Amino acid sequence: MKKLAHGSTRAGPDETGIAVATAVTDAPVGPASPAKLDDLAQVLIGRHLKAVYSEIVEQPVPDQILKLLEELERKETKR
Amino acid sequence: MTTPEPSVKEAMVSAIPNLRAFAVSLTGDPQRANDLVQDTLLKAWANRDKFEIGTNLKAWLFTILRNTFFSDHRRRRREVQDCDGVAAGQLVSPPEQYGHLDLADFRKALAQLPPDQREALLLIGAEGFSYEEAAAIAGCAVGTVKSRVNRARGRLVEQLALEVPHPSESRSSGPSVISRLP
Repeated sequence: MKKLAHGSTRAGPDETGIAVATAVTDAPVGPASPAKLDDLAQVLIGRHLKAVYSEIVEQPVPDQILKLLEELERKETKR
Repeated sequence: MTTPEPSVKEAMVSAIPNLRAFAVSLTGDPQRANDLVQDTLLKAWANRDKFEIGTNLKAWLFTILRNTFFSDHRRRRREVQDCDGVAAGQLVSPPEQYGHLDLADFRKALAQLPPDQREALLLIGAEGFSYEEAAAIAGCAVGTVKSRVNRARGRLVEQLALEVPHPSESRSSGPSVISRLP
């Protein structure tokens, strides 16, 4: 997952986009049959979806969220 | 001797990055997503006695999050004109190029999907839940999840084909589209 190492969601497009684009040029593209285009589209969608998603998964969790659970637990044990 | 609580808490903590990714992708708004995750954790914590150990805690948390999101979404929908129809209006050109896409284009297209289709696609395609799990989370039939995922993919195909010819300008337009989501 290191390939998505840009810190922000904004910086993301280039690397992964290019990687995906290069990967698919191996397949015979162009005015192919609709079925083939469709398969290719599905593959691209799957990859892009995982790329944008894992980029967010890998972001650091904001402190306020982590503290919330700590706080809830502390209140609980005090009782 | 085994106290269930620490393990539930730890499992909740380990689910947070995925909950955030789901929330950010669903809302298109990082701040709102963080609020949504916090609401989810509060509700989950308050109701953790209802959670059955051994069942899928992540799926349970996702259910709470999406229910919170959709009830909020319905409320907002009454207040603001919804943008769900925007994507449909733009589906004009046939799919031509798939060779070059970037993630900004993709984010934009994803953000323009109707929320129920976006949810289904995220649960299946990004999070890797089974169709059965996704149906349980979304509170609908398995067939409904399947058709939502198919429609989402179909829309993305058309939408992305439309966006592809302008890679240079899409790079700057991506975040702005996300930020003006409801």
